[in-house]
Amino acid sequence: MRSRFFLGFGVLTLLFILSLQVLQQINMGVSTERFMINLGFGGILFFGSVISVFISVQTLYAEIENRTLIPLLTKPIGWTSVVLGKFLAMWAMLAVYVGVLGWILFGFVWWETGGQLGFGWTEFLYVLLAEWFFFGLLLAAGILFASYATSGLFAMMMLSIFWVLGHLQHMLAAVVRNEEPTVLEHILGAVQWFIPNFQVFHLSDLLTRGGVDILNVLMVLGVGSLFIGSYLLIARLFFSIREL
Amino acid sequence: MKRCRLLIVALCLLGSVGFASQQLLKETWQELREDRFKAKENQAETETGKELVWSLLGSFRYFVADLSFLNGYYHWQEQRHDESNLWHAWATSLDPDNLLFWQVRVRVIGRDTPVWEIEQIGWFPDVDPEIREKIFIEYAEKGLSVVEEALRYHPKEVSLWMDKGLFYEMRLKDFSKAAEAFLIAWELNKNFLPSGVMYLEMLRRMGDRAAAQEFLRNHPEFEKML
Repeated sequence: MRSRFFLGFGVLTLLFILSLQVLQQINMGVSTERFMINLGFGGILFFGSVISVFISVQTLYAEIENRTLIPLLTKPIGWTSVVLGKFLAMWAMLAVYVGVLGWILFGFVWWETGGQLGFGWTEFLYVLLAEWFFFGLLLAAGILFASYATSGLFAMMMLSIFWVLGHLQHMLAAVVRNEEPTVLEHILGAVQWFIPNFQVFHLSDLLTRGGVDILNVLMVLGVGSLFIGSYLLIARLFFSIREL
Repeated sequence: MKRCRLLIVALCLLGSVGFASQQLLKETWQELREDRFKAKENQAETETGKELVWSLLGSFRYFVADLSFLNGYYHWQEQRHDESNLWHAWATSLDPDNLLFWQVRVRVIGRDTPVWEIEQIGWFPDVDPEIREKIFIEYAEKGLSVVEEALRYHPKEVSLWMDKGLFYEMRLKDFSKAAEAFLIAWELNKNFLPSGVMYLEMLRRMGDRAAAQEFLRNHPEFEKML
């Protein structure tokens, strides 16, 4: 939590949220609430993704390169505890990030709109939970890539590609609907089975367009948990056969 | 060998989780997709590019749309119609729910651009009326195509129906289509008098007294407002 990188990006996100008051001067024709919610969550997503990508890979790599992981493995704890412990610690950091900044955003929007919000605090909480699970997915994928990559840079690049593909996952299925798909198109189509659809975790636009359904959110969180568990399990398998 | 076995087990596990998740979220995703990307099942290929950009920009697309609109406004002030229309088109593409973007785009392309083009040829009264007419019709048709696109996202917006009617009435001289548009605008908001007035005017120009009398009989509130 005291990591300078994490604190620095947290402050950057906070400044971004506070700057919404100035940025709304260029808001054209939409409500203040919609503008601030969309842009605020965009900032939380962007900076949070950078934090997740960086800390998930660097935390493990720093420990492997500095050999500080080896004394830990001499203790009577298995790889499962190590992987799960690292993941939960990082996920807790992201929980603080999403929680603190999310509620600052809520308060800010509430103040700017004079308390006239089109959604309740419970719906806002559901959206924050979904975002938190999205960051959990990135963290778990980062640990997975770190488990077999031989350099931190490679793992971070893979995680960035994973981020892009996850946001386009819903379009990957469409590529194999061509009349005669090529081999590359078949591979891209197959990728959709291994990457979750990140779009379902970003529900902020529903706050200003009809509401957030708790059942849908529970399904999203359930799917997120399945993927997180799978990625961590595979990472654990790779770590157990990796030479440190 | 052990790594290969592990890799195969890992891929099978992930694949089954991916398949299960797609089934669980099928309905949720379909609703979200329709609402967020304005997409329908079996969407035409031309929408793929829009969905790609929207997916990557996420919530930032609304902010980028505002910046594009401002940029288009700057070019409008400088009377650079190609750049202005391009940036306004980009703004409406990124945020089609924003009515202001559509209204400005329709009026810039349908009303301002032909005047700028005529002024590039020469002093407005000195330009051959046939050439002026040809340019007005060309841009009215472009304006109409933008109005039709805008009505996909804002089918109940009175100002767009009025713009449609005015393009048909002033430039294309198709009074029956103009009358249809003004009547729809009137039906959408019966407190907006000009739409009813324009509808009656179109009927007068078409010489359809019977329809005009029928309208006034069915809408006695209109006469009271007059």
